[in-house]
Amino acid sequence: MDLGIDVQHKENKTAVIDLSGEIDVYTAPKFKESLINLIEEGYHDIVVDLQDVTFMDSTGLGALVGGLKRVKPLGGSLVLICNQDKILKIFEITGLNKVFPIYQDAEEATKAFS
Amino acid sequence: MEQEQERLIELEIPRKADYVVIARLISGALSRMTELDYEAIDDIKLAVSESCTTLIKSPAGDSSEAISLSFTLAEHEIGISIQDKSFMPSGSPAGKSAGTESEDEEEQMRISLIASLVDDVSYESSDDLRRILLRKKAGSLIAADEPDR
Repeated sequence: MDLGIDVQHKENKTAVIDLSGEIDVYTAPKFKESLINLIEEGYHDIVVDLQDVTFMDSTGLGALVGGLKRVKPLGGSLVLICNQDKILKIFEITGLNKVFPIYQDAEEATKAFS
Repeated sequence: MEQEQERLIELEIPRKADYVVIARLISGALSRMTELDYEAIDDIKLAVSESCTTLIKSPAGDSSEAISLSFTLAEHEIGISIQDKSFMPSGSPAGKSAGTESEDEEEQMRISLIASLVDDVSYESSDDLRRILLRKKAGSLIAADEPDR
């Protein structure tokens, strides 16, 4: 199983990472690396789109938390797009739904940076 | 009273990250043979994924090359044993990692997730064996489903 990662660079050093497939112990490092690379390139306001993610476990959460910890000290933010109950569930169980702003769609998420 | 007939299925996968998906797929397929609903099946797949990850990420001295899974299916529940035959320092719980802060945070998330997804979970470790035991019953609620008090 592979993880699709599509990065779109937007204005004002904002980026959208569009993920598709499964995020687990095998694919999460690839996602983590993409996040780190983006941040090192100067993109500190990041939207991670999870709408096409079919499975995610704690390794995916770990990559997101790691990304958030990197952008926060730089004055940046990391927000999520997710409307799937089974993915939202793991954020609720771990309490990370209170840490990450989670939007239902791209339109709502981009308003966060406007 | 007629006893539920239990079925036992065993699987062994290489102790490598790219094979965790196999454990997940098999656990999903087997769960569908019980009365568990779709949400419970998703819970099982996630719990198995987290358990395999726990064993793979744990420090292991002379580790085996494989993780063994045993599935016990009954009509209304599934029991899963996930084990790794490897040397563990005595006193270390299964899944205990001595990693970075982020790895420790991830481990805590795994433990809390697994506990929330199934009805029973236990960790066993000895000098040559680490095992995680899961049990999920049909019709049970998990933490995220429980109504706010």
